[in-house]
Amino acid sequence: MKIMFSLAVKQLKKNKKRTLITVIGIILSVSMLTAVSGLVEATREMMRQTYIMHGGNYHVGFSPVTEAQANDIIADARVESGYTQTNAETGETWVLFRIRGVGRNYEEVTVQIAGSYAPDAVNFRYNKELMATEGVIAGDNSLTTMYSIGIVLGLIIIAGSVIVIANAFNISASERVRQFGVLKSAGATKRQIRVTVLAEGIILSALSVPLGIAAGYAVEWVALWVANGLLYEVNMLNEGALLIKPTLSAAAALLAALLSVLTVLLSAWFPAGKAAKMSALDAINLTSEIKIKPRQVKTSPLTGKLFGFEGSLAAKALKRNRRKYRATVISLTVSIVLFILGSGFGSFLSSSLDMIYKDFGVNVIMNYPGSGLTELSEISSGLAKLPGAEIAGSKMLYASANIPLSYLTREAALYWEGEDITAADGTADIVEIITADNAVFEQICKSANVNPDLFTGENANVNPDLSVGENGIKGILINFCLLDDAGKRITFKPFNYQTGDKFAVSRNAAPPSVYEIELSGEVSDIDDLPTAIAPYVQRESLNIVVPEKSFAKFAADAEVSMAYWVGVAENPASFCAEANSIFESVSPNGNYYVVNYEQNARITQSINLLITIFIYSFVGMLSLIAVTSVLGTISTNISLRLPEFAMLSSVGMTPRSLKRMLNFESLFYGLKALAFGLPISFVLYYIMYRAFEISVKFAFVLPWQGMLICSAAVFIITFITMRYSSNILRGKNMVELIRNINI
Amino acid sequence: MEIVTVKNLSKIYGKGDTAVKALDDVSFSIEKGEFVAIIGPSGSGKSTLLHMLGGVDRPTGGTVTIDNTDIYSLSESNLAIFRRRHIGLIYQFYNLIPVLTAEENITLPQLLDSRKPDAEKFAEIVRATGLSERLKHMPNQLSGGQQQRVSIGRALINNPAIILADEPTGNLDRKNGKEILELLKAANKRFNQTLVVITHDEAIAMQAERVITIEDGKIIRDEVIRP
Repeated sequence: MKIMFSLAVKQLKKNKKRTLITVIGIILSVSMLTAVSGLVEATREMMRQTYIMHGGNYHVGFSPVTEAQANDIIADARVESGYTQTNAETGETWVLFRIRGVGRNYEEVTVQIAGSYAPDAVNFRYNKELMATEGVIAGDNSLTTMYSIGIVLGLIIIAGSVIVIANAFNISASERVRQFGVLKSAGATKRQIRVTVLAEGIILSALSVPLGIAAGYAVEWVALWVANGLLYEVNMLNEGALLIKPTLSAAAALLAALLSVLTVLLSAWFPAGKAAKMSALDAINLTSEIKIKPRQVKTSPLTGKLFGFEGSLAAKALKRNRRKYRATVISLTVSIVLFILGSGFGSFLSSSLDMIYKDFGVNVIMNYPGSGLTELSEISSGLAKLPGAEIAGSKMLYASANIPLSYLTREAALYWEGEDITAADGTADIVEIITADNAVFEQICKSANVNPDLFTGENANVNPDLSVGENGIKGILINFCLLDDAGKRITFKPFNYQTGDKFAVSRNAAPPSVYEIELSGEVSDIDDLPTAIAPYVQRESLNIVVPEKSFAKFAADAEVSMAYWVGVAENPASFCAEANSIFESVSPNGNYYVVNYEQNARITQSINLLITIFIYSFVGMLSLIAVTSVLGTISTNISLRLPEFAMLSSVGMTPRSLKRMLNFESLFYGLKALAFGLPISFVLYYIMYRAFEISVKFAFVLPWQGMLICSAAVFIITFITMRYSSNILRGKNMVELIRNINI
Repeated sequence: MEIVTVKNLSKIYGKGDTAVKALDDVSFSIEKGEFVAIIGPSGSGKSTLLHMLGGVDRPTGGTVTIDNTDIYSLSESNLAIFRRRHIGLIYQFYNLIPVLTAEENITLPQLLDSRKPDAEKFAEIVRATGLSERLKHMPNQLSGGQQQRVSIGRALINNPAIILADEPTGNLDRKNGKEILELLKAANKRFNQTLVVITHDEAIAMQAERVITIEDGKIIRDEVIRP
């Protein structure tokens, strides 16, 4: 037994390259599994803490209870901890508590507890969010998404590492068969041979698993350190959000370790079994190993025509080494798939910068709902005085109209489905009558190709006493909608209309007054829209811009529904501070919003950056696994074929055509890997897309960029490996090699 | 006509104290059409000499001239091209390319030259080696003797200036060994092919016209045993 163990050690020492690759493979896979599970765990814990902070640390609660009842309940053995809360308005007292050993039957338990202490309790509250993060009940969407991501990543890692480790062992399988043959001929039993294999696996795992767990924890620590740095800014605004603390999941580490050991053992087990089955002499001579039939290595004449003799020789070599070749192709395929999925993953998450910020270049936006015209003009003039900013204002009044649904375009019907735009009677309902500063209005007229004179003098027949069917208001339709469909920017024209269409509009403010509105034109191109109109393109309503005079008549003494000021400030932060004080002085109730879009965008960007860093470092690690495996396979393959190269060289193959042959081999490797990898990743990408769709609505876009990058990368990797391998060739003395064949 | 001229050839492996003189100032020449056997005990330097003649290793000193070309003045690539056009190598273990058929292995030097195999020459070789039934077979489907025939065919295909055979019968049984030797001798006679065979088998050496004996990197005997 001892001799078999020391043989295993010697074997590991002798095959340094294989040992190294295996160790790296195990370390990478263990560390990644540890890191991923740790990150999922840390995120879950952060979510839990956030829920506790915002909602309180309780599973269930009920009211009303008296103080005495509450104390009894909290003291009950079934309750872990609890507290009371009194509603300031109703004066009702709630008891909120955590259930000891909470399970799916939490409702039952709560009712029981209520029944035994507070029979008067009628209101029950269940903190499902917290219980979901504690794994009591199935999670909400974000939790499910997180777990499914974790599982998908875990499976990818396991698949990747199994291939690397199995490869490393597979490469030297035939050498090992020979070695086992020698052992057998020296009288080693089947069991003893298996013991050496087991010993190897155990030694390798004992060496790498602890390192892997340590590395994984380190990765997690660094990742969270970076993440917390980026989250800092978000926290500044989002008061109360917690920093993520690294967690080490013992179960995950154990699982990773188990998997690695299992893989190593299985990979070594097969050659051992093969050797055990063969007769000792066959194993030594490997006579049953090399069996080639002409059909197996037949290449099409086209290969020869296209790539010359070297090309067809390369193709034949790959066909012969089908198994090793397959291992390499699988490794490459896996890395292609991982890369594309990773970058696709990135594009799923990193999106959704605010559209208005991006499309209109606006960096400050303010709104003030429900105010009088005087107040608004006061604010406007105040804002106009602020230095270093270009601000345009607009006002809007909600109105209703009976517009037939046929007015909606197909896109509007599709994207606004279920929105308030449609009334129960099958007519479109929400209309926003908008006006803007004169200059803005003139600009809109120009964009709509409508003569501004149409709205002045005699043409501007605005008479509140006029009834429907007689004269009314003329306006220009903003026939453009910009939607953010989970990261995908969607623009469409919402209405089918014709110039001169008229319909009755009644304002939603009291007292109601009805006007007839005539559409004089439309603006339907984002480039033609003045920034002042930007806030309205994301609203789901019929937006009609009218001249200020008409608006004043229409609004009359009613409150303006909403006023917007948008623009570009040189220093948005200080502008917002000053704007805030203007609003404060006009509106003491604080019913206004001043948003620094640049800061918003920056926060979004930090979050996106965070996600991108995570994804790419992860993809990087996974690719590292694949590259390790490819490097291992190709270089070992080349080493094994050195005698053959020497042979070719001795019959007069020049170093150049030898190199050409190797380059062709790498080209074929790459092509084959891409032929498998691209379709596979497409399918998996689609599955992943569907998995994500559970929680977020996404538009499906092919990850072209990832596909292109990884195609290029595949060839670069294979060429580098081949070059590296042919350098091995250069260093070798041909005579030595020829001698080796002759021994 | 001298087809091979070796002048002051020496080869030292290693450096300093561990240096081994595999060839020590060897000079001789071979006439066109000659059948020469090089014999010597193992470690005598005979394989080194063969590699020097075959242009697969570089000497420490001296020159090898084949067909009026000082082969070690050539670049690595040109030397490779020279090898495939002017030198035929036959090894003990045949050294065929396992993924090529017998036919492709025979024509390998011409395929490497991106030339269309010479059909007439090929037919002649197939006749001489008796491989007509085995041309589409892979090396592993051939017996040892057949494989060695293929490698002889490969050596002959380009009408090389010289054929170098390293223990060509060493891995064969007596009958096959004899046949291979007959084949080589026939090539020597029929095509006036210069032939150098390395062997430690006295019986084989006795079939040659000339026997060069090497010991400790030096020629200790060089005798013509049959004109």
